[in-house]
Amino acid sequence: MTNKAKRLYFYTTATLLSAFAVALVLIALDENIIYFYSPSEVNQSEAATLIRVGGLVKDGSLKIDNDLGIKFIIEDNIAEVSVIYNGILPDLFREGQGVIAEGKFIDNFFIANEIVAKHDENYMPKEVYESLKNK
Amino acid sequence: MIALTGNLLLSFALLSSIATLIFAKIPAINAHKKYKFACLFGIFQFLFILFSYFLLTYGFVVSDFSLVTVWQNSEIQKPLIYKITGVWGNHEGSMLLWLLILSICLFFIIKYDGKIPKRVQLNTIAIQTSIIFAFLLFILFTSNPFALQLPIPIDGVGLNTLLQDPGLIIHPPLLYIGYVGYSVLFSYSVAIMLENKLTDNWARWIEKWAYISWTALTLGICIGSWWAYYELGWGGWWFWDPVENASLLPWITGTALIHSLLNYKSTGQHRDWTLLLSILTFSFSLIGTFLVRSGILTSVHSFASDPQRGLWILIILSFFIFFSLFIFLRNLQKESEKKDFVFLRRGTFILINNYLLMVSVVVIFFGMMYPLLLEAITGDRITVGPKYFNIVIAPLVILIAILMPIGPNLSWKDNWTQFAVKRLMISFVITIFLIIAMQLVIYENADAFHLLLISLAVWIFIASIVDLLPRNLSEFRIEFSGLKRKNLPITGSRITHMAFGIMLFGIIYASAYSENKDLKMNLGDKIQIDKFELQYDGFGTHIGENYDDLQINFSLIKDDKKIANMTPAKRFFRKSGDITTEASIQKYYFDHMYITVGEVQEQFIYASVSYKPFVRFIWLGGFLMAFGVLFKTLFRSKIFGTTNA
Repeated sequence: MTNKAKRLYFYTTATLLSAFAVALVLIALDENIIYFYSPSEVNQSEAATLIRVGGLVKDGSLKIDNDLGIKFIIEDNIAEVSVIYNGILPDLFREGQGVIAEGKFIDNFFIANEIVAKHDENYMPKEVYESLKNK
Repeated sequence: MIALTGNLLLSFALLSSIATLIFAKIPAINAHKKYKFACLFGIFQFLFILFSYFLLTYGFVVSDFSLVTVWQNSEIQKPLIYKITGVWGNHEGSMLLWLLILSICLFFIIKYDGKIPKRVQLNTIAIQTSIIFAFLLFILFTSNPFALQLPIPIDGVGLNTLLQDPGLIIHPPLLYIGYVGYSVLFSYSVAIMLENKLTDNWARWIEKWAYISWTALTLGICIGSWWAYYELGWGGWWFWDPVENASLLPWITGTALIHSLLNYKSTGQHRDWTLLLSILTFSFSLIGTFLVRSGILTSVHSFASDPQRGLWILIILSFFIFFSLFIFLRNLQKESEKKDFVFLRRGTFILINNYLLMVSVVVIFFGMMYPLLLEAITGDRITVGPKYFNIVIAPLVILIAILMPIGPNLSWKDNWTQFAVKRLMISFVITIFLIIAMQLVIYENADAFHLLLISLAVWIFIASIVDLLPRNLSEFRIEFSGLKRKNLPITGSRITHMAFGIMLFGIIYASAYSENKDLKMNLGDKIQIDKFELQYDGFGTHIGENYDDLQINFSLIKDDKKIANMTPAKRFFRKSGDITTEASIQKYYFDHMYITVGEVQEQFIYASVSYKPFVRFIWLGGFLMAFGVLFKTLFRSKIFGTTNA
């Protein structure tokens, strides 16, 4: 094989691999993006897709139930979403503070599998801040 | 008083940096004087910044609440160690640390005597100084740690309780040394390109910095990951959080750079690519800082953010990136490709390594920026889940892992040799044998995909060890050749490769075979997890320096025998009233039992219990990787340029 041919093979392989990588990125992205909604934007009928809901934890709404786990309400001054969560709440979870829950709607309840935690007690998740700003 | 002195010191530093730039660039006086003055003012910059840093530390130690930064992030009762390290536990102080490291780098550039042509040296000093200048402006105008407030409050707000942890002592400085160390590579590279009169040994001037920065960055990332693992109480070691990605990107380009430098040193090929990599690596360090400081990406690491700061860093960032790329393109030389294209030699594999690493950078960067892109275009707010990153990185890691042991066995010049084939065959056979043995001894219901990944980790590990055996087998009788003085740098490389195998093994094993249970436990309840039983025994209290712990007691039982007490806790900070969750981690060989506790009620608790096999390999591997490169740095080969293009 000549030098030229060898080089040609080398670069062709690299190009094909890059194309493969791009395809993989697009497929993986399509399946793994999670949309964020505020309680007033969310459409509860659109069930069974993993989404994030963010807003403020309604004052006095946090209940720790013996059987069901942890219940609380996320609100944005317009609408409310009831959340059920079976797990450990982040340290900075407080009533009246910003929160983001990740999960799915089942029978009008938002079943969260993750509550996103923040390092800083004064820190408001960017999405929550922006969705509250306009209300 | 401190506020005034601090501002003065920073202003003097700013003036000194201007003086350095002027002396470096005015043509009027003679070259020798120019150089002397530029260096002198360079040292002044370093000293002024150093003093201002000490002064801020002093402010923290004596709790001078006339400084806004101290007031917001400290309190009288805070333990001394967190007063000293609390300096970098906030935005202003951490930027001052960043600046301090920049100026320490400048100090080393000035002091370094590597037979560098004076003109290149002067350019390097000027570029490093201009970075310092930009960050000084940034600090003075948007993030002044010496901002004054009157009247003086009696006590401070206190340090964020999650940061009051030994992790704070070492993680940020190491990470910053890594990030900022790359500024030296950046400055040298741009200076070399400006001069465009290359001497052969520029690779040697910058090589050391490539190693040191990489070592620090690796350690910083490892410690950060360990810190998040035990302190944040999520039990994970990597979340593909934007800020984690931001530290991974310079790490990957830095890895590519180390390999490319080796290639250039030995064959003289891909000079421009190597220079571009050093520019890219520092650019990613800046991008990382920009992303963390501006708060444009939602991350767990954000300090309270301020868009104005983001804008400043964006300006600095764009300026340095575009400036350096412009210089780069201006000096781009057409590389001669007349030489024989020999495929199976080491250089080709380094090229493939660089290619795969750069693809990794692109896909990670894309996943990281996609939410911003989409929001700008459609207004939808999204998060890219961690699964995206796992899916796109897995095939790249597989390719890298397959090829990783091959390259080092090949020669720089010649084609594939009989010898390399033999060695790789030996490694291959040992790997297969070990995997079969492992399956028989510690049987896990492994699926083909994970088995493949685990085999690859073992393959890297074995091949790196085999590669340390003497090239000529008769040598073996005299001494283990890996310990010969001239072979020590190679030994360092192999340790790092081997350690990557260890880390990969830990990552795959712990991800695939961990067992996790989130559950409610009543007093006396026993649960089964992996080969252990865990019993909830009740709770007690423990009094700490500025906190009280509510400790939850568990007994870890194996084969009906109690092997350990485990006491995860809820930590109540007296002053702020903050509560943090303290995980309890019990070692078992290379595995961890990991417990955190959520809600604690009179009759029951919520606990999250995980058993993570081989999880310790992740950090063991990470630290060993850093050690390997450190080892290589110390015994760096002084022989340079066997061949040159």
